[in-house]
Amino acid sequence: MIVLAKLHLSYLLHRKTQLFLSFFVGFNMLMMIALSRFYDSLFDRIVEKEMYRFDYFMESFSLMKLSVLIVLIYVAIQICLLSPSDIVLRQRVKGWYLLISKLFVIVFVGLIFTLLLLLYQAVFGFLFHGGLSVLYQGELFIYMAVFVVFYSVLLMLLAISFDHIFPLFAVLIGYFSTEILIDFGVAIEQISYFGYLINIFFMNLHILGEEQLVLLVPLRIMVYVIVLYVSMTFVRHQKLHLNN
Amino acid sequence: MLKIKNFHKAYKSADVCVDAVHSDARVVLLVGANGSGKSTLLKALAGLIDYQGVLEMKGSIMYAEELIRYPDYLTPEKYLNYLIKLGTASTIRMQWLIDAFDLKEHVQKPFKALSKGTKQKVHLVQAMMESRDVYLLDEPLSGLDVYAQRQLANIIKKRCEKFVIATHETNIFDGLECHKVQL
Repeated sequence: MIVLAKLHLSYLLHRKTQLFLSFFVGFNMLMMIALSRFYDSLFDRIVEKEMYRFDYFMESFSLMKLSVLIVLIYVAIQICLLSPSDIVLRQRVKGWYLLISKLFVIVFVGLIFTLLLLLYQAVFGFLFHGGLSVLYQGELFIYMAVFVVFYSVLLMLLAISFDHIFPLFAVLIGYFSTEILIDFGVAIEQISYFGYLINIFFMNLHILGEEQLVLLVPLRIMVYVIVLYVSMTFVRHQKLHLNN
Repeated sequence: MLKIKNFHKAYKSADVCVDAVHSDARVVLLVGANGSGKSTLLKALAGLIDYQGVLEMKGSIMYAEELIRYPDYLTPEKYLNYLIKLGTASTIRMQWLIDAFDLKEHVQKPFKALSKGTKQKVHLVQAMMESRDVYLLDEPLSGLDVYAQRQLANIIKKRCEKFVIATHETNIFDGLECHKVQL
């Protein structure tokens, strides 16, 4: 698995990816600085310190989710759709092993990127609003790790099911839908059935409270497993039916 | 060894049809104009695409498609060693092929520093270092100079496995006992 992951990573980290990731990391850094609203008057920032801090962490968290999702989509496209190594590797390892190794790499890159953004968030939060809660950052990382794993699985399934770039971008539309349909901190009773349904496929961490986790995670896993089974059957019979 | 009967593969722009081929030769050359279906036939033999008709080939297969993209910053040595850990290849066989293709001085340079011909040689090494009964090579001479083409012909001559090769140039294989199939 490690060897396969190393191979995927070495294919992934070509010049275009390096440029894309560098640009994106720089862009996020600038955005985080802008979101800190350091340009407001010092008086306002001192008087409304808690509000500024809350706004900063919430807005930067939204930015983080969107950025991580875009990076996941990029990596999924590179690894699942544009990979030139599939035939070479598929003749040496089993199909499911190859898919799991790809998923592993997508999650790995997503988590590294998340860690970087959390670091930015913590550093700029500390610099412009004072105070740094390691516990809060740790909790955010766990939330984001769940987010990364779910979206990686979803993107992977869409890539192998449709073998096309558009369904992967459609995930962004789904994600925005949950952002619009489900407000932050809303009680679960207030969420419409449609919002709930959308959230099964396009997870949004806003409603990942303890109660909702119990209800949503098994349901989502069930849906994903069904889609995975259908996709794997499709791949096995239609596309990678190799002799050995 | 190779038996083809009423092979048919439909594409949007054209159809590929092969009525009947039967060959017991160790080396089979698939020759024909562009679009005649050489690569399609190899992919079908490798089990990569659906088709209609009968295709029979005994033994385990290794398929080497036309030159693919390689990881820019990896060296061929590292790349081949990764593949050894994944497949059925041995270091001895890899070394033998590296020597036979005169690749020794190139295997420690990153892929981005290699020429097309050298990458093609590495591509052939990665396929032929695996232990299989049949090797399907799609345009293996592409990018190779005449000297390297002779090297490939010599390697095939020294091996005992079977080869099915899609190519435009057949002269280089004249020294081999091979069956040419015109598509």
